[in-house]
Amino acid sequence: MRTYKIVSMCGSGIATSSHIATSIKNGLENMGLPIEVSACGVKDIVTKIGQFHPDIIVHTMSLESVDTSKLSKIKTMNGLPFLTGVGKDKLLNDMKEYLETLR
Amino acid sequence: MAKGIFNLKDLLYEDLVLFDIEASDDEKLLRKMSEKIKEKGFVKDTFADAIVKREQIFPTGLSTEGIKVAIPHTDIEHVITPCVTIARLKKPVIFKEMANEKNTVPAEIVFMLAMNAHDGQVNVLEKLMNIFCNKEVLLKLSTIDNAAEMIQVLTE
Repeated sequence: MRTYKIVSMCGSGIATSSHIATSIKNGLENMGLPIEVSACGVKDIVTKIGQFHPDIIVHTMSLESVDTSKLSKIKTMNGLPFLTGVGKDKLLNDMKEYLETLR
Repeated sequence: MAKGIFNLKDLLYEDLVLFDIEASDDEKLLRKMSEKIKEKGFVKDTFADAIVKREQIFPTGLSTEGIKVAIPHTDIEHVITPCVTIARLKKPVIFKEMANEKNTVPAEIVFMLAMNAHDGQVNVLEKLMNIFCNKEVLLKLSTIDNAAEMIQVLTE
């Protein structure tokens, strides 16, 4: 099984994206998936995609403020459940299911 | 990493735990809270405008269980000494929800984060973030009425 890569993105890269990166890594590794995570602020996302080649972008800011054509058609998921705890297990399951469809 | 910030406790100050705060909207609340920490020298003059502006672009209301919260924050260059200012509100103040700005969140406790390093303080924030997933702790925070106890519950 290959290592999957996930970027968590927030407005500034200061507070929420790093927290979420840790939650994702712990959550998915507990489900048996090899995971590499990286956090960034929205202004650095294009560079991050180029360097890191993520399978999923998890975001805690609205994508309305982002030119989504620059996200290279990478799957995006709303990471809010990692902050509130509400729906966290479902989101982890959705991520796992999606990643397992990838080669 | 800023010197001396190793625990959540290092970011919390009893005189930055505010009770019965009133504000008619999120901007007025953020300005009130910013004024408090500007007076004490934690942040630069630019902090208030910056945090208000960022809240408009990237709102921070969280629809947490138990009670709703908001975690306004802004860029590191406006901060001198990192701190978390906590305001327990007399009446909920409406924040837009993070990542779903069409939704609104009536926040009862606001945690204003003033950070001055990108990564170094994240481990410290981690503990605070975990509290937002904990309904029991949030409910407890909504009933305590002194700052020392508030900090104790947050850091225990």
